[in-house]
Amino acid sequence: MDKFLDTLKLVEDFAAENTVAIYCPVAGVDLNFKPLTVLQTKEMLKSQIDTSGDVVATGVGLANTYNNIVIENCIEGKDVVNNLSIIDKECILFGLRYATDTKHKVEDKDIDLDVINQNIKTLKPSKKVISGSQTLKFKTGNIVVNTTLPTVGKDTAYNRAVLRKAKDKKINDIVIEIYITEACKYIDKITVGDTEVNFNDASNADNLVSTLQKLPSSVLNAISSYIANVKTYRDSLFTVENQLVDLSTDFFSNI
Amino acid sequence: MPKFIYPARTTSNVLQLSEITQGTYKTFAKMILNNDIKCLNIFLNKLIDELTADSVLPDNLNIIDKLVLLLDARCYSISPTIDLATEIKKEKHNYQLNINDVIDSILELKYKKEFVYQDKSIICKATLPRQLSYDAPEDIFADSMTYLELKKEKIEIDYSLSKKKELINKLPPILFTKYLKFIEQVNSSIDTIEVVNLPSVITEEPYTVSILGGTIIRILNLCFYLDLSTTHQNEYQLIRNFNFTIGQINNTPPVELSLYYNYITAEAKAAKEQQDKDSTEHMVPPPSL
Repeated sequence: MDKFLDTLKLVEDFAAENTVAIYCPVAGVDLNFKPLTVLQTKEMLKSQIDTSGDVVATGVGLANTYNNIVIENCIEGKDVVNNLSIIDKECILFGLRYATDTKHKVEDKDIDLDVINQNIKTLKPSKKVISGSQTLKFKTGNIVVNTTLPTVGKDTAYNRAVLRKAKDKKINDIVIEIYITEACKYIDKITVGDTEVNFNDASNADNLVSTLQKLPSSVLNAISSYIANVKTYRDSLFTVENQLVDLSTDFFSNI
Repeated sequence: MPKFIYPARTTSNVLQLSEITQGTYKTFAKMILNNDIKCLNIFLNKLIDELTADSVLPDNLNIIDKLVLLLDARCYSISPTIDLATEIKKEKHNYQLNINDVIDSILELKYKKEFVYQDKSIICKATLPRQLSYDAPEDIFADSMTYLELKKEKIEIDYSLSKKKELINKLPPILFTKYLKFIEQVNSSIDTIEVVNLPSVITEEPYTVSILGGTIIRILNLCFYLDLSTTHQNEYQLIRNFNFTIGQINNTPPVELSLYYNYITAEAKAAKEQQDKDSTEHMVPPPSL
């Protein structure tokens, strides 16, 4: 057998043997992951130093890079990850970084990552974070908005829709659409009278975004209010001494 | 005939080098003038390989070692001094730079020369960057890594750069990021120290050494600059008037060619003096009335 392939296998085996068990607070399970690799860190750094000036492509591209890393490294497989919530995804990314290096500095201040690690294990999401339902009353009838945490699979699919829409467009021209698409990720279904629109099938993302744009703005307000709940919980996990730790590329390049 | 060889220093070793010839010196000057860092890097590696044909190049030869070797080679093959001149407001300023002082300043720099990372399952060692330029940060790590041990098993890493990069891509990122931090720290500990002391009338910008290439080119430019036009003119005179061949010129170290030029200048001066003397002796006094 080729000597180089033998060597490559040795290195791959080393990574495979050093799996990291990471707790996912929303799913309430421990999952096993292969550690981060240099290649994956490089992929993250690439978006940090992207000079193309395409803010949307860079930002959304990075979000999908994060999703892909979590999928690639999960020992339990792609389907398991695709059904995890985006909060669990962030906890996994944090866990992979924490397993590599427990130290982190923000503006020369040491951040105790043990606090976040402990938060993830102890702070459970409340019911209003897992899902929400709001009935909006109008003269013509009711609109029921059911919200839920986006899964990794749904997040990736909507991100791809954003990339398609953003192609060759300036950010000012599509900023509203990006905002609406982001809101769509958090919708389980919207029921208008007898009609139910399922927002989990992101293959139909363009139509779903158009549908949401046509609904009264109070629908968007209801979704924003749910997103605020999710954000509050998410931030509580990643806050150390009033300092919110951003899982940006800096967090990973500072290993 | 065996070549003349001499001891040349690196930051941690002494190697035996042969001389830089006039032909190589001219090519070196052309490479610097051409200002293409990738091409210059290839040329320098080939040059060092050629000069060190009688020594085994150490594994840990980094870019600062290469600079010191070349400066020693310059001292032996061209001259240990450089005469610098400038004119400010019609006032001429001359300065003689001793290259041995530059080498001493570089050798006195204090910095870590080896990267070592060790945890319970990984040992990794790497040198400082070896090349003048790299395409990407991971190329530096791939080129510089000299030892890898995973779970007490030594990993073979003697592969081409592209294969080493493939291996590195599979490794934990802490090795890569710690290495980048290491070279950043080394660089910041030396890149503000002046290693070429020149009066401010000669240069306003200090000459420092950086392990990331740029400033090293500046020092090479200072030490290996050659006025090619004058050089070709002088060589033409040697061929035309003194029966030298271009092969002989190109294979002779510049320091020896300078000796020939000195003899020719001295001879010409003596001939001129003799001519002046003869013309004085043969002067006929005007007839007296």
